[in-house]
Amino acid sequence: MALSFGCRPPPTVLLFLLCFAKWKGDMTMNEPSQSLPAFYDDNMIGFFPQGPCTIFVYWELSRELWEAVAQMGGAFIRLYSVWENGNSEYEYHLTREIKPPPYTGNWYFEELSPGAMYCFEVGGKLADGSFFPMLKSETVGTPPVPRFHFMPGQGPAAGEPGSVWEVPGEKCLEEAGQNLDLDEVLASMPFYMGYRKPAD
Amino acid sequence: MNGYLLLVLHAHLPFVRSSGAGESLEERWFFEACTECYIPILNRLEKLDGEGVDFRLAISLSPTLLSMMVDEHLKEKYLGYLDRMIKLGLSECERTSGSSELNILAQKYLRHLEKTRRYFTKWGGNLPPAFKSLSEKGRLELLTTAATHSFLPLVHSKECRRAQIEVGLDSFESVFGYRPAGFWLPECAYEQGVDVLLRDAGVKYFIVDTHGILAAVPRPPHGIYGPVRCRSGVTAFARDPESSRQVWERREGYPGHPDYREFYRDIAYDLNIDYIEPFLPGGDIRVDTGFKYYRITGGGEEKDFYDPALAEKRAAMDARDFVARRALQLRQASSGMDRMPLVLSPYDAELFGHWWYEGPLWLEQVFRLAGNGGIKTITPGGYLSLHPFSQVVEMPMSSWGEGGYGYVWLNPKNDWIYKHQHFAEARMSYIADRHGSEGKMAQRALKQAGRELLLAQSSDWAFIIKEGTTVEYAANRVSGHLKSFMALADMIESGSVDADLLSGLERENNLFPDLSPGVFAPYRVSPGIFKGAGLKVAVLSWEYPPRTVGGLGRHVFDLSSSLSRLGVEVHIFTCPAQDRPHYEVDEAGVHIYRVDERDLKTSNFLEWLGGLNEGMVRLARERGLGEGFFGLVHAHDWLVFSAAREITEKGGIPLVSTIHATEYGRNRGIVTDFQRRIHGIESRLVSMSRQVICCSNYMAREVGRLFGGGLGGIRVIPNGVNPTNLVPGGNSRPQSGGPVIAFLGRLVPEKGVQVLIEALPLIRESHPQVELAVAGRGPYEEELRRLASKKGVEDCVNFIGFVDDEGRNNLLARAAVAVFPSIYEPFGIVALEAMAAGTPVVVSETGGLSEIICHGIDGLKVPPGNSGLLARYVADLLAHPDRAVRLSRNAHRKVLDRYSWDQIASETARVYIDVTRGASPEHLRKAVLY
Repeated sequence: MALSFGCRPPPTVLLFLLCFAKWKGDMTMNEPSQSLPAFYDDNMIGFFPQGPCTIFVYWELSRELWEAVAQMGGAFIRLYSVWENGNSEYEYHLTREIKPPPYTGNWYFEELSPGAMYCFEVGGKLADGSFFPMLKSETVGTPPVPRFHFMPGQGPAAGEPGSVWEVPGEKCLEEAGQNLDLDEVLASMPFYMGYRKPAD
Repeated sequence: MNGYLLLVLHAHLPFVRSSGAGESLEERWFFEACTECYIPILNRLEKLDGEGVDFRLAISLSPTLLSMMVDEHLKEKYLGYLDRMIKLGLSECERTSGSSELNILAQKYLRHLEKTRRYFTKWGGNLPPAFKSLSEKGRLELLTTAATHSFLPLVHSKECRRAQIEVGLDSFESVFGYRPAGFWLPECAYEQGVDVLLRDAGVKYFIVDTHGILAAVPRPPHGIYGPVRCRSGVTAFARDPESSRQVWERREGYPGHPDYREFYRDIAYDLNIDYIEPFLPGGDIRVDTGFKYYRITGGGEEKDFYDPALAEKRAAMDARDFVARRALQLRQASSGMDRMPLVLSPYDAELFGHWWYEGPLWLEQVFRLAGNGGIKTITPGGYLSLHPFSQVVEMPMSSWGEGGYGYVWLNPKNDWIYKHQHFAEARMSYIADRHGSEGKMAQRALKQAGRELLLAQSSDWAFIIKEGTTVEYAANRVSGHLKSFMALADMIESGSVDADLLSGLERENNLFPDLSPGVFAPYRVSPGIFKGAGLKVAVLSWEYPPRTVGGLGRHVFDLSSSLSRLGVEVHIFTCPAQDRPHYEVDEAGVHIYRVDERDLKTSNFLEWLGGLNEGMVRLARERGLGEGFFGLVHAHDWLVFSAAREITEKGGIPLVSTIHATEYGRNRGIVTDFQRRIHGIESRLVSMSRQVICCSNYMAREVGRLFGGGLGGIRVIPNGVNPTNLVPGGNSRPQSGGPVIAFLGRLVPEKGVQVLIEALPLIRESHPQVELAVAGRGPYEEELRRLASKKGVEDCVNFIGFVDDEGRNNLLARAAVAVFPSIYEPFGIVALEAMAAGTPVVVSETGGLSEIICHGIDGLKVPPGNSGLLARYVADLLAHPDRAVRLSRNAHRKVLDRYSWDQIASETARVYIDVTRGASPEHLRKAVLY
């Protein structure tokens, strides 16, 4: 059975407000941000998934970073897809680079992959054309698209992990006996560098 | 029996109380909800209870709604509203005397209003006790939600998310005298990490939307017909879409049937304004009165008179239909399950009675008929008492909003909110921490600032803006609360509070009277739960000051000292140290037992290690291991595995292990037999640990990938730093000459000093006088010297060798920037030390280091090995000291906020409590494998 999200009437608040349709007030969408500061003169970044295929980002550069970016010819924004490699490290692959219009402070990245990880940078371009990141976001994940057809009793599909701890990777290796000299260990194992043998 | 039906009603209104004397438009929402929803529902439930009908229902009451229910000013206003409506009822009875169809209805509504008034005054104007009474009889399970119903995934700071949760629970507790086990996530909006905050607050379960569970990994065997368990231990139930659709769907759902009362035909819009005006809150603004005389009839404008008897028959039929469909659904689901299936059907409470006038009657009928369908109604808490364990899964973000995620609350119409909201969140955490102990006025201002921020975070405003109805009202609520917050924050920081402004805000937005501003502070040490708990922990650490190698010994020392101050009795078992006794109790009250060095006379490493472990066991036995002296064992890294295993088994006590680094990670793979052996020991240590602790998400990923998560999973608790230890000493005057770049750490390839040396020539182009001070020792030093010579920078690289704490402090004080270009770094405690010392940092974007720094905010990050970009960043910082100051200021604040040892010890002790009081290993295995 296909799911239909949001198949409910509007919540209470809206029900009551429907009765106030003629209530005084501006019915147009006017952002009242005239009453909130337009600029905080601070370096800020917010990076949030809106849904499986869309991420929203806002950013603000402090005045002096803005000036630095302006001297570089204006800001560029970049979106990276993020992958975890076999060493549990993150690798970053450039997905989009955009030169937004001046004074832009937010962006929607659309048509992304569900269940993927992304991060964002804003910065300028150096004289040699290389990108110089000023701000970088945390890595966030887009939610995956759920399965719709599912009845109890269906076990994991082939390749699906059967336990939350089963992740692809190497299995534990067998123990091996070893007769090692203490000095040899201390000399060859970086972890133990600096350790002094106990005094006799 | 076919299965269980879990009906959940979520009752919520935004805080709309006005301090003025007259009734405001917004308060009308509250009055109507009481009259048409809450009191009729309570009446029906009490009737069922009185007749002995066996039913169970869960009701969530939001804190803002509870605040209004207990408000004396609103109670009076509500009585005034009821009196006006009764007058209108009398007037209507007279006006409609010529029409029997209308007059019957007018009389019905009048009777309802009079009954409502009697009910309200019977309870002393206090509705919560009515809910409590049914709860005490076992009919209701009461839940609550976030303080102001904020959409938690869009609350940026962890502290403010926690504040929403804890203030909400505190508010519930202040009304009902206990904390609920269940929590209604606002908009069913879940994101990973929210469950951890709920667990910390003592919540046992919450509710998500359907796809929250269906998209979980691994696939839950019961789908939505059973709950699932997060790794944190909190259980999640999912909404059933089929039963939702039957009630919620505008066109095909029950409430849309032609026999039911038409919501939109109210006399307020049909009658002459002169007649109706005395009963309206705003004079000439027409709003619902509740006197509705027509039924839905069909899709056209023509409506027939409402027939209550017909509608009641319809409600009974729809209830029978609902029960029959649930019975079929449960029968179908049960064929694939080894336990009774459940269907969870959550609804907004205000649907019943307001939008759907016959809703409360339908609900009553469902409870009467459920047994006939082989269905037992139960609450989530009741279900968990029967089935406490469920499969452990990871769930993605989800909500029950349109689209299933965040679109409703984050779209081009309302996205402007979040920069301002998040700025305010960060500021609230800061002022709550820095000004939390000031005078009475400051405390009042802090409290009110907290209230204003919470009110700004309500999900209702973003929703209204998106729907485009009363945009100005909602936008003004957001901006108004945020402006009030900013004004209060300015006053607090300046030390001068405007008493009149503060009093005015307190009068207007007076909810959460017991709000403690500390709930917003960056860390909260769990107050006093460890003192008196009698918790004695055996800590096994192969190194301990004064015998230290890497950071592990210092970590154990700092952690133990802080744990001891919290009230945990810590007993350290460790290696010998010259001129130190075999047993001592240090200044912090930590008991230290050192293995006798005479037991370790061997040149074979493994024999030496074996002797160390045997010595630890012997000392623990002497201390009282066999007599149940210790509550648990905390092992640090693989070197103490043998002792950990033996003490755990002999003592019958649980094991917690901290994995500081792995052999695989240190060597970027397993190559030699010795590495394999260590790898194997690490795996066994993890598998026998009740809980594993890692210092970073990176380490948690690595340990999870290599070894799995052990019985209870992996908890990430960062390393800490003691900022008071980073005060520079007397010799800290800047030396003459150029700017100094500092590196501190072991001279081994993984620390990446070679990358920094390679960057130096480029840095020198813009800063010819620059000096690199390399503090540390290691086998790689010669290689680094050769590299410096090869790069032509040997004259500006100063290898100063090992530095003690004072030397470290002096170096950091005179450095213009500290650089940590590690190739592998599980955490990077020395970077924290530099941040605490106020030195701007540039680090590699690797491992745990990457998680400490927000690039451009409190430091700079460079891809590992990228000497070119490293050079540019360092040169840029040297050229722009103001940028460096901004970074270091934010970095210093971050260290104080997140990496204090008190906070880390509190989180660690929390692990101890969870482990010693939590599920047995058997139960944990069952939960993981289930």
